[in-house]
Amino acid sequence: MSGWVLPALGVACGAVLLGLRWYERSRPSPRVLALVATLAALAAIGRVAFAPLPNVKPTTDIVLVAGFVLGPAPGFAVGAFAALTSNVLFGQGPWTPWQMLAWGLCGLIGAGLGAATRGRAGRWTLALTCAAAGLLFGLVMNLSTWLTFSGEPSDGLLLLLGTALPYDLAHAAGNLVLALLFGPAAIVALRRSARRRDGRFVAADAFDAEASCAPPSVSPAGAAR
Amino acid sequence: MSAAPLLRLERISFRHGDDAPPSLVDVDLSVAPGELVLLAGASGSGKSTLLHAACGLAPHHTGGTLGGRVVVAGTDTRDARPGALARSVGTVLQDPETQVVLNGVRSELSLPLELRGAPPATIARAVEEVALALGIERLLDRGVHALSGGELQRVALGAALAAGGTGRDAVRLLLLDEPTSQLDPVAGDELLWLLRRLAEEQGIAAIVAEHRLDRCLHHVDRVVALDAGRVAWDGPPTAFLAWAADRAPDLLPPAARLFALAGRTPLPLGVRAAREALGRDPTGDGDAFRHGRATDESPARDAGRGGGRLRRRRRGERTVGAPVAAAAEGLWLELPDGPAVLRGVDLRIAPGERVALLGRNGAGKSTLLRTLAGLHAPTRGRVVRGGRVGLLTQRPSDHLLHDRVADEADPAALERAGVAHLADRHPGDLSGGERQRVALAVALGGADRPALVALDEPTRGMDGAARRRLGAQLEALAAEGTAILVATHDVEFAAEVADRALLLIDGRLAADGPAGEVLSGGWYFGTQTARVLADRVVGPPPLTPSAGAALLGDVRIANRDVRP
Amino acid sequence: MRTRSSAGTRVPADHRLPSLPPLPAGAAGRALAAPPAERPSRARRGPRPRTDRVLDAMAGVGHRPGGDPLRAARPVVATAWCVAVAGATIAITHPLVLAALVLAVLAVGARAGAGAVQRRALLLGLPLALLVVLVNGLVVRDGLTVLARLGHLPVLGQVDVTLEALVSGGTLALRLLVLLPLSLLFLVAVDPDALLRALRPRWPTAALTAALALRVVPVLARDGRRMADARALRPPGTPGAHDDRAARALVARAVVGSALDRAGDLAAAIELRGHGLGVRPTAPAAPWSRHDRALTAATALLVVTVIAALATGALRMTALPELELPFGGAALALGGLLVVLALVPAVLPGTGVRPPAAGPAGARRPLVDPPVERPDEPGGDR
Repeated sequence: MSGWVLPALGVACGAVLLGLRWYERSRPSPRVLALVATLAALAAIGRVAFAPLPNVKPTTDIVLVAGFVLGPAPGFAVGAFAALTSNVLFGQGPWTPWQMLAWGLCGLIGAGLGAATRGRAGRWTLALTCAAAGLLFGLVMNLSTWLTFSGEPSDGLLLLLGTALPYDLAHAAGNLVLALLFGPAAIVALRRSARRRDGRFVAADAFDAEASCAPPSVSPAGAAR
Repeated sequence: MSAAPLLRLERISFRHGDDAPPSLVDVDLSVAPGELVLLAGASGSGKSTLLHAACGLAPHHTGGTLGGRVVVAGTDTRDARPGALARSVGTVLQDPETQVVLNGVRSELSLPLELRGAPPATIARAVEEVALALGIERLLDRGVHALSGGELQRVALGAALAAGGTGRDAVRLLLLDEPTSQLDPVAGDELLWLLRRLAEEQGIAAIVAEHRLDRCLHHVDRVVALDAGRVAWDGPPTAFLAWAADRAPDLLPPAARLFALAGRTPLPLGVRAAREALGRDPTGDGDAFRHGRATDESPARDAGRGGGRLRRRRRGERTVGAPVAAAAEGLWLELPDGPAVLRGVDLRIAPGERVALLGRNGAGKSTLLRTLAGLHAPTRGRVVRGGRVGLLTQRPSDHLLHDRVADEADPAALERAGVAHLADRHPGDLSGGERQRVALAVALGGADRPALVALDEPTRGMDGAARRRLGAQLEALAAEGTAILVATHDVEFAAEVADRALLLIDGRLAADGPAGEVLSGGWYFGTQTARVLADRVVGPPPLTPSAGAALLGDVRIANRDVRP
Repeated sequence: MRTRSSAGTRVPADHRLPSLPPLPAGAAGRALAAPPAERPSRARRGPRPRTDRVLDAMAGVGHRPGGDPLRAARPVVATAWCVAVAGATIAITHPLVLAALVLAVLAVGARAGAGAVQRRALLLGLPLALLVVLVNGLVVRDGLTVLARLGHLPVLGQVDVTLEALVSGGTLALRLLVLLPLSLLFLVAVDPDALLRALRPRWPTAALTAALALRVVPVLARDGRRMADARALRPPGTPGAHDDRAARALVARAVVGSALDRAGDLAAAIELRGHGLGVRPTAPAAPWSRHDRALTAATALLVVTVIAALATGALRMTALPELELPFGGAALALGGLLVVLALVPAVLPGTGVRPPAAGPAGARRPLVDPPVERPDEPGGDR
């Protein structure tokens, strides 16, 4: 029984550290770093703000959209830090690594969706993925609950999953609705913020020449970079 | 010290996108060590962009195209990213809330050196010295979230200064974007004194972009004025005043405007210079004012109103069922688990009245407005409203929720706020002044006209033209019968807009009377004009430059003030 | 939005499972999000937007300075101690040791000025713990000592309540009752900023991101609150004025938009601070204090003890099919040692700095009090 708990927790911690190492190695630009932090904070606030509705929270959606736009490593980081940050309010504990892992996975799912659809997921595709991610989150958390707070690894798990089902379905449905309402707009807004801004240096004279003759979006000769 | 300039801009031009108009055009500028430079100009004239270019954020971080060459502390910005440049150039951008990135003051100050791998002893020393230099040593172990705006601003400045340590490689140039716009006059003054001291003692040069020149002009060595991205003026402050009187009268601080309107030269930098000039000036013989025209010539709204007794009398009259826009009776407000913020405020505002609410940060101004608008329920006492109370909070963008200006309010309201021409724009693309007026349109919308429109710090970050437009707008509203209540640190704006002024101290109304009276006495809550003329007239001195100029004599320049 | 923010019993219910206890996070969150001390007077003070809860929670339970041993130790060491105690709680099933651990964590909490929040969390956790016992009693079938035969129940089938089932449920409940106050002790006593600072040399990006996220939470919550206020003030009949779903969606969208704007400014600030220069950040250098040493030793011993207990099975209770509580010399020694080690931060001498008043959130200034006129973004020159 309890023999399972610590190893499983160790595996979860290891997976989270691995994911964060990946984020660390990906050397995010300051812009991406700031976006990851801000989105994690938004997701954490969303978790608190929606607390009165049973198990409806925008967190999974935010994480998934972040992964969709920013890519896998930042997506995982948004999920992990959303859990970490919101638990500063809700309380840290053995559940923290599990939540970091589960939401991190949601970020990865978002990134996967982005890669699979080349960034052109439709409204329903996105919403259904969000719902599925919600179910996955529920599954991971139920597993962790079962490992930490159940006596015997017998039929407890099935019973647990069965009784948790309404709540997980509420989570998934909430994700679906929120993603249908906000998903595409959020993707557009986030893309605009995350766009790389590559500056150009030109000589003073080249700038004038460019200003006088260049139509928009034609890159001038004489760019120094 | 070599004469090599610290910062050299050579024919700088900048454009955000390929199709955007350039925000800087052919700017040449160099700043010497220890020089304090004021960057003036209207909104959108390129002040922020110039600072961004000087610290490398433009174009490295912002994107866009930079023409020309920027060399700062010997490094061309095309060769180094802003992070590397920050070792010798400290930058503090507009909103201090996003200029501080960690939760503790000490960790914030040590972050830049930590990220540069400096030895712990160096970091400890730099943090200590910077904290002492900025007077924030007592904040070191505090959390950031509990700091006031002024404290936050200083912490951001401290972190910018600490990036180079305090040794030989210390930061030598500071770039500050509207550092005092978030502060009350006291904190703003202190910040400028601080910059002066850093310049004198450490030889740290600074470029300060500001809208409100009256606080900075006498501190700086040089003024650079931008107009539509070009350098329109570059020279010492006194000469700047002479230039601005002809070419950019919006930039003149009140004391100088007073002299310009009265046709006197040279224009004074501040109150002291103005008083000295008047004292010396044979034609401006002080006695003439003292015994002569003063009382007749002071503006009509100042005349004929008595002193403190008036207030009591007025209140007595009004309780007998005179119409009221909004009133508070024995208003007492306590925060949950917190101190009492309002302690027995009694206030009646009549329809069409224009009231200014002054007071230090934390005196309870915002709370009073929010309570009048119904956002707080009073702990004791009550609020009476003669109709709807519209409230414009400090950030106008808080009021803008839609993607098009036209969706925010109905066309009539947009028309009344003077923003009908912006209907198809995105609120995010508007300037601060425009956003403010759209927010005003939101408050004015709806079927019923508001009985009272309350504005919280409406002139924050606004240039002269935008302030004037807002003033005119408010005046028009009041003429239609809507009462106006403006909570502000901007005494000059209060003097232009209000006919009655309140002074809130520690949750109590310490003064309530005609603006001419409340805003003429005192050091911080008095206008520059009033302070210049205080001992030269009998009774309350005039508040606005135009009123003062009428007193001083012939009016030579066209009257540019909102209110004559 | 305003009318809905009542002060009644909010149910975060992140994991509300009827058959097994909800994750403690839910209960802790409830304890934090709505400090009961605030409730009575709320109604009088008028409506408060929902985002306030974030701020209230942060103000009520965030890290506070103090002079107790846990705070005197460096954050990494204090965290390690908390993790070790949590690990021991999960690894060990001896109910008496767990009960002693509950008391130990409460004692350390009282020393650290977390007594009030811990008690509140326990009060909310207790029903959950009882629920665990009850559910286990009904669900677990393998016990031999039957206490009551309930006969055939609809969903559960034949139900016999056995002593073994109740005791095994009780053990799990005790686990919950250790973890809840421990979680709050960690929140109050360990400064997350300092902890992340210590991690920065090895994890420069991740630690900075996490610290920035913590910094941004109250800023965004404040933004959201102001926007909700501004929306509530819209004149009746204008778009967004009616407090319905659409209006709330508008506010949510605006909050997200302003958050993304802020992210741009923060990115500039991070860039200027020197992130991404490719230099390994300096480790905060402080000599090891006696508290560091003592707590590290206690933590290491704790880990060794837990490993020994796991290896020997000395503290393993066997509940099913028949109750078997080890009471041998090894059990006594290891269990005793465990509890003593968990008590170390309660009994070490402190630093002499007076701990903060151990009241409810009241002792601290709320994060967002309207009177402190916070600076806000100017409309200015952009």
